[in-house]
Amino acid sequence: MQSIRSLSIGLLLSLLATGSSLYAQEMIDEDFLDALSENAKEVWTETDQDFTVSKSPAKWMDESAVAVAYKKHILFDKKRSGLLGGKEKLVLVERKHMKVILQDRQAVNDFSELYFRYSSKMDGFGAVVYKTDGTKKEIPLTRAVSIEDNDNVPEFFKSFFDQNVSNRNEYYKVPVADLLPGDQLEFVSVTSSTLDVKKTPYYTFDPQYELCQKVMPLMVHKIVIETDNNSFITARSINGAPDFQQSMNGDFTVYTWTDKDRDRLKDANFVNEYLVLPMVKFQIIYTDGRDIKSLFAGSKGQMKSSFDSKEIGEKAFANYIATGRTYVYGASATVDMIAGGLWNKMKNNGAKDVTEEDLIKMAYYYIRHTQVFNNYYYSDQQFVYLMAKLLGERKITSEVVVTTPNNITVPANLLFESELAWCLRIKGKFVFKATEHSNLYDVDERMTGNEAYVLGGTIKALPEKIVIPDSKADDNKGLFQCQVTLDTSKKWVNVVRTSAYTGIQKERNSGYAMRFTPYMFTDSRTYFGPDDMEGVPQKYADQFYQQKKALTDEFKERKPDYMKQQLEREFDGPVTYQNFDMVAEGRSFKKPEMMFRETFQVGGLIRKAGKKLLVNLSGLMGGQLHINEDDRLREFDADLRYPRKLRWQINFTIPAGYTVDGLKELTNNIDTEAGSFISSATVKDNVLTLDIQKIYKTSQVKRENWGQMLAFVDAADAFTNRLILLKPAQ
Amino acid sequence: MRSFAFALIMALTLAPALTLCGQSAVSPDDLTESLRLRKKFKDEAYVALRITEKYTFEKGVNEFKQPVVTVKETGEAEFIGLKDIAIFQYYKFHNRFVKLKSFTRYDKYQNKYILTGKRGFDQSVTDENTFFDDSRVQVYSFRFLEKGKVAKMNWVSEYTDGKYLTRNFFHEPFPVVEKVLEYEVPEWLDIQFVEKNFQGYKVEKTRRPSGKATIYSFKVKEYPALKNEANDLGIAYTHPHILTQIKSFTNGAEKINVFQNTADLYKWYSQLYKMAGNDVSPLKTQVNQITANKKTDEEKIKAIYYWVQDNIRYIAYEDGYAGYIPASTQEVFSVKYGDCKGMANLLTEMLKIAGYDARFTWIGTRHLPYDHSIPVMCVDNHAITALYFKNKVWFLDGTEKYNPLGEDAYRIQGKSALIEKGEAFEEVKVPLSKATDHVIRTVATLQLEDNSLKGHVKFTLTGNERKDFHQHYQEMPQYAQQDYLKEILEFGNTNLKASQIKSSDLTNREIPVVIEGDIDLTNNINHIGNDQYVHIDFFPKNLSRYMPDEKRQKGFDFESVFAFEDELELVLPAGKKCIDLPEKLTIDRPGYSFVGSYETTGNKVRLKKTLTIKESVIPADQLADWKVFLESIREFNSYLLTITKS
Repeated sequence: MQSIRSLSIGLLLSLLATGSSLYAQEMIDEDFLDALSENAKEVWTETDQDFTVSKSPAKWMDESAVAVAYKKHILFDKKRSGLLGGKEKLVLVERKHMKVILQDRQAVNDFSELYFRYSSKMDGFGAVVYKTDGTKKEIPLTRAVSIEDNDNVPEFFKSFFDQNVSNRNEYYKVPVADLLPGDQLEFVSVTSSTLDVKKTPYYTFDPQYELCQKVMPLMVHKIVIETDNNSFITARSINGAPDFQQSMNGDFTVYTWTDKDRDRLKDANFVNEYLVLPMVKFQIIYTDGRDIKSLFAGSKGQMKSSFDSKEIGEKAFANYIATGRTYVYGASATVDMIAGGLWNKMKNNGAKDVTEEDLIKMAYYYIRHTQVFNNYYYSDQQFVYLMAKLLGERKITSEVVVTTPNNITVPANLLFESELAWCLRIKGKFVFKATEHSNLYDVDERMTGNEAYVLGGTIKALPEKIVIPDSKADDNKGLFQCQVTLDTSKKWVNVVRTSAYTGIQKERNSGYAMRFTPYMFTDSRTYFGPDDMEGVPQKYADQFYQQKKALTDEFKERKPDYMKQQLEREFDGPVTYQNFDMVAEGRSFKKPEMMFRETFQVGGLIRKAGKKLLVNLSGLMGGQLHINEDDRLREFDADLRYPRKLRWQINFTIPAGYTVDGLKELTNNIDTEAGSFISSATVKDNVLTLDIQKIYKTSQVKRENWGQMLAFVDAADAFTNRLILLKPAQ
Repeated sequence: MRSFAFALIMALTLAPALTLCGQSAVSPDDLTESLRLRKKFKDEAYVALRITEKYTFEKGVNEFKQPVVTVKETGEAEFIGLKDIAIFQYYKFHNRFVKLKSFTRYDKYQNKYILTGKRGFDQSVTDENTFFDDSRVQVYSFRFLEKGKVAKMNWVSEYTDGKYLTRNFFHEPFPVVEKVLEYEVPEWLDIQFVEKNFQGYKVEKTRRPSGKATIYSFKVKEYPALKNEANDLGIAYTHPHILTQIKSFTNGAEKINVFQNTADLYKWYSQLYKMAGNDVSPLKTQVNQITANKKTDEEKIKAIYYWVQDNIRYIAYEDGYAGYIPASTQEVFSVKYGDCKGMANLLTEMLKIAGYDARFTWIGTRHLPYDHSIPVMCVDNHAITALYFKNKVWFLDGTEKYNPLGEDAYRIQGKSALIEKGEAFEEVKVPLSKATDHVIRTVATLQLEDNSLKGHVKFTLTGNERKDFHQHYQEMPQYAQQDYLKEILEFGNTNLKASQIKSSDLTNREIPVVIEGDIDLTNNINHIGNDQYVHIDFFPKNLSRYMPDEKRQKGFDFESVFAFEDELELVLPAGKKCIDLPEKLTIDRPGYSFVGSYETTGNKVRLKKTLTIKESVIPADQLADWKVFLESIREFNSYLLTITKS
């Protein structure tokens, strides 16, 4: 029945209020069907023994689905057309072929709708189902409908080239008829795209990170890249993944990567997949034939798989010197243009006269302000260039440092320009890209402890190899001081909590703490910058102040509700929220610590046993990391991102008429190389003080040391269940 | 956060557009009105000053060349900002039956309206359960940056068949200062406006002649915004609205019945149903195969019913009349997917082939608080099969996967089913089930030692709870199923470890689901002094999701009735006793109840609890009592046992 006909107000409300995407749908044009089928033929007619398999290996019988074979063939071919070959296009063709054995209902559901592209007359698609009785059924595409949001297209159906030519792509989905567990599904697709490269010296396709393991086990997984002589390929296999093999096919170079017998990708906590799992990464760069120094590519016909420090230095330097001409996201201006404007503002505010240290601060915070107030977004490379340029106005030397983000790769495996991470070394101190809430010298967790290169002053200068200092647990602190009393109803605990954060802990928690606070209006005060309305005509300034007041009022209304929701998640229980008070934003150089005070009540922490009360004070730590049974045996090293120290000081006023017991059980002292959990409970002047410290000492825990991690993490987890006993005085 | 900062930047960017010749866009009168309304609607950023919808009626023909009544809707909506920032959207719905002919926008500058939009942004809206439909909206987005800012929209929509003008609500997602629904009814048209939930709401009704027509007008004033709340009851149950029943019209000398009574509604349904164009011959072999080894009628019926449940996937296409005409049996059978109509059509015909009296049936789910006494298209939104068997009507729903024969999904219980019987029809109510038909039962025995608390737990599901389990369990990856059973026995409690998991035959949808295993709750013991404090109620059902907060306006809808039955036994070690047991808690209300008690016998402590949701809805006027109920349970559940030396 068409229940949707009386489309519920609720549905529309939710769609419109949340801004969820609304999916435009159209039935497929019947004229497309023949073309889709015709274009798919070339893949169907290829003879490939890998696709003749019809049974899963015994070891994978319990899997939801097994991919018999998954292959993609990517072709880059430059074509000339038009009068005297005046038009030059890069033709990009991807041929994809996959066969899956569906072993349960989940797999049937996953593949009950197939997706395909029809954006050009060259696109093709076809699918068949092999039933358990051996019959073969073609899947008709007549009932396909278009979809609007291509993000919903599953990986296996997406064209490789969407990343670069996606704006005009039209995808369709079609229901698969008569699909049941045990069936085999096979589909092929051909997607053809063109890029106009006549005036393009080079074109860089997005780097690909292809994990060998997918959501289902694969018997054969093959990637074939075929390029003409103007395309370059860089590729590197890590952690035991097979390498690309190079061969020739006429004028084309063919790179073939084959992986076999690969288990399903399984979820595991603290695993940095790109660093520890078998993976091949590759990138294709098309050029007009010239050798372009800044490109991370080898020479013609060479499959480049690594770059030494000299090459990294040269290419990074060549990139860096071109940074000034790049546009800043959200600014409609180049880095050089912004540098000019900022220097003028800084000059007007005494930049020529301040000390060098003050100028460094000034430059940093003026740049940060453009992010906070103007909504500019810089890459770290742009930030580094801009900062260095502003300092250069006063001849202050800064050294450009490049490394790789430690959640993506390590410098030894650097392969793509996008894998460069940038920072500056100024007078021996490292300066990382400013965020909305960071301060000068705040660290970037992606770069701390990394090997890195300091670029020389010229393209030929050999870069200096260094290590960026790692942060320590003491640098990244969270301190929570709680003044706690019992509510008269004996059902709630009243809490006044002061939370203070430093270092990466602050950076990680700033987002939620600053949300619905008017920090953007006071940003210039944090560094003694000029008023934002300086030079703005009065009538616009008046409107600004009016809007500022409206927003500030709005924030005041929304902040308590928002924080209440955060606390309900933190304590997994009911919360009433009274007050939020930002004591220190932690957004200035002099006061880098963020501190805020909240007043609230938490329910569910008090239990009764006769007339006795048992209070779960340690529950005020909030939910602690719980390691599931499956995660207790570890296959890989654990990546905890950064060391940190968390401390709770809970001062509980023992209610009149009660005595307290159960303190002995609140003492812990577990100290390992990975971390520690230390707690104590003392009573003084009718106030019970619970002092708790949980320290993650390192950012990485070796697999063999996982037991040390479990020791202190388990202790903290168990501690959250401990109770103190309040006995009525006789 | 940045979006708000960005809003500010946008405010500055757009600042020149806000003014004409340096003036504010807002007139002094609008500013005054805005300030007045702000006092009334304190939390709101904007309100509709006025919404008028005027409906006029003409004669026309539908796609089948049959004479029908067509409807023209002419509307206007005017909004005013109450804060200096108000961001919102206004949309008009359209599809194959409702054509949006025009939708224009005017922004007000001082006292002058200026045309600023000739067409809204057109988007499709697709329900997540629907593979494809033709429902669309045109949307205007507003960003008022000054209190008192005013804009209005005008639109004209045409209903190609008046049957699809089904109901109109007065409430909107924003406050409405005044809303008027006006129907200009020509003398050739017999129409009834069925008033729903008018009681307790002020609706001003007038009726006045206008030439050869009569104008029926419904006006409301200062209605608050209708807010979405979690697990709320559909507004059709609680908020005033009008059902439009076009009874008949005269076309020349001929009087044409539209929806005079239920028979007319059935006639229309029946016409669409017959258009399915069934050819049942391809089904016969399959029916024979399915029933081949079944001995009894009941076995055969079950085999067919379960085959449809297991082999036909739910995929819905809703496109004009195709959204109302069932897909043919041969098509659904061939592609093995369909919507509720397609599945009901297939199931009905398969049962008929097997020799049973099965009938295609229309029904409204519990989301719709109507029955067929009001013959309007919006009373039904679902299709099932009615089976006359053993002097009883059985309701079979192909969309309800893993549902045993004889059990009805709660969503259709208590609703009137309109059963196809050729030229006639029959109305039969789907029987209501009791909470005790849908039980979540937990029985555990725990043994306390000095430093351990271990035992065995058995978890049982019946009725719709069992069906819901199967719908989740059977559709998950097979490699994850065993872990899921373990998770169930760990009750989301990180202090609990389950092992040695066993289950009943989970391939059988008819028997209760039983999952059992050993559990370790040692971390639930608190040693304080010489005593142990033990929490054996390790899976408290306090329904915290249904605890109303202070802003809650609407009632709750559980969309089912059910009962939790828990029996826990704690065996104490020799030389120990349990003291300070809590008193028995008994709360019995018409819609829900709780009984919980602790008892000791020898070295055993027994906890017995039953929480019963007898009615699926907690009405808004009972929220305070409901809150007290939940708090009482929460307190009972939090009780700790003191184990001390005997």
